[in-house]
Amino acid sequence: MKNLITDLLSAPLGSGWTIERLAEQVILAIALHEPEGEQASVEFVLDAVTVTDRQSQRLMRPLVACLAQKSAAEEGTIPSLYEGCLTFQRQSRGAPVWVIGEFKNTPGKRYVILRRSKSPPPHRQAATRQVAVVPHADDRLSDLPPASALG
Amino acid sequence: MTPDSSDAILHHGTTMRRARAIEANGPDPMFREPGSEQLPPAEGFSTVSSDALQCTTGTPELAARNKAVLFPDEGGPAILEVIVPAWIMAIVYTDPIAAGLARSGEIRFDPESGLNELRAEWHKLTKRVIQL
Repeated sequence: MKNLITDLLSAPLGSGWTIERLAEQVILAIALHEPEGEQASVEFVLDAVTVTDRQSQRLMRPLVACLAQKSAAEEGTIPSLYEGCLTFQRQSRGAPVWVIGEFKNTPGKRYVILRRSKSPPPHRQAATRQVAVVPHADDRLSDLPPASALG
Repeated sequence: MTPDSSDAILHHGTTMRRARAIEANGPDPMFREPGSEQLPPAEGFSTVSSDALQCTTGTPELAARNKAVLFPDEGGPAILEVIVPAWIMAIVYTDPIAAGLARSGEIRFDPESGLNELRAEWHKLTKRVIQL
């Protein structure tokens, strides 16, 4: 099985390359990678212990930091550079897909794991369910007792 | 040392203890965080220009605050400021990987991109530590 992340990190860099463009390449490559047949979603792992080529070693930390910043910006959360979850929503063949995962750059551990999912991550699903059961704002207002009854 | 207008004022975010150590001795490419003995050493030194509008790999302030949470007994978050001469910055910009990171806001000194020169000049450079 090819590892899309390590392949991209070790590939020749274009003359005007930037780390955010490389991060987006990684996200899109995973978003577009459909599992074959009944194959479960594939996890792509980049671990500092197993990275051996010099270019990948130099790019790993900034790539993970950029993914963390990018995910936080897209999710509207506060970024953490050293540990956290990653969530990216992209399109694949006209349908939404999610690239989700986690990363660590803490004592003893430096890795990022990403996988493709056809459904949003659990925290997004919970938010969606929550919104779905909450009545429309106008309905909620109509449930209130008349102002005079409020004292 | 009097800064030249083409010199770069760079910020490195870390903990107070590490900022003081780097200020005194320069960046240590063999530095490993406590508990990270099996991982590769730091090898390089990451900074951001003090006048950078953004850094897509994280600002020094964010790095310092996050690092201080990971290592709560290291004196809290701090910024090490160092003024780096233009001739060393030119080495950074000629390395393809460091040049790409610089376009994203990060000035990274690796052995291939000015780290050895930075360390050799370190004792001559103007520096200060800023507690956050």
